[in-house]
Amino acid sequence: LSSDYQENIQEVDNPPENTRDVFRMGGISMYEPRMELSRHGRTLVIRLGGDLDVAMAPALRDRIDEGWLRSGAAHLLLDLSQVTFLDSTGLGVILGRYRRVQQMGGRMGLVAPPDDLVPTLRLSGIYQLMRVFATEQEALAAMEGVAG
Amino acid sequence: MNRRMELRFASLAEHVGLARLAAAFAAAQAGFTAPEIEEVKVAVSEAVTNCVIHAYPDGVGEVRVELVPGSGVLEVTIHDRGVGMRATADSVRPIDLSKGDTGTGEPEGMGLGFVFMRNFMDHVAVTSRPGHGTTVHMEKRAQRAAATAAGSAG
Repeated sequence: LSSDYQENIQEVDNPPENTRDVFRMGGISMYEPRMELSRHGRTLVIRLGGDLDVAMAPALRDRIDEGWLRSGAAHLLLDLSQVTFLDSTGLGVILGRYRRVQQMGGRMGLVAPPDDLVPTLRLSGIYQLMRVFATEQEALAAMEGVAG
Repeated sequence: MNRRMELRFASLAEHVGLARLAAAFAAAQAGFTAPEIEEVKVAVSEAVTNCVIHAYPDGVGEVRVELVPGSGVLEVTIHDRGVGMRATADSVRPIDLSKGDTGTGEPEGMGLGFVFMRNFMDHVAVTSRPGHGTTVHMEKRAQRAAATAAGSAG
């Protein structure tokens, strides 16, 4: 199952980096989010890239939900190391995913936010809500190490 | 020489990035540091996003962004001619995540936007008239400039 899953993800969710295709949905045009998915044990890691703002939010939300549900993973890690901008709309998407994962009994964490993003994350209070890890390795060890 | 610039665009989500780019440019002209420029980008993104989402519920309208960079200071005005805000910024309840409150209303993140504007800029004023639009005026002073002013005053 896991190898099939990886292939699917590569095909569907990993477009070439230079194709920031603009498309229209519900009257709002938006960019295709840059994201790479990989599953490690019971945890899905999603590496996000680009500006997480209102232009990106609808597609970002849908792609994360789709990827997470399809993966069958219990826990979710969002790697922010390639994210170039984050505002309250992007944070809203992250918080919405947190609520979903929690409702399904899973845990969620953030990985490697760039220094630029830290003041925004701190001010939002998200550090009180979920763990923020320096590296993916550290995050995976914590996610997989805890029974649940 | 006044380095004022003005940007007018349709209230579309993809234009918020354009406003951020212009704001970053103006903030750099004002002599801000990289972290200060980032703060300006977030504040402007929040104000323009509000125009995109709330100002014109029946379609698309105009958003005007005015940027006035000075020496160590930046003035930003974001204006729309939309429906106006029913509540003033003060009565928008900020989402307090530290108390486990993740908010339940839509759109997600509303309220937090004003928290960012207030914290990242030195001055934020919102004026709004139902049916006539909303104007958000913000000012930010560079830390370095503020320190110099305090030093010369003392």
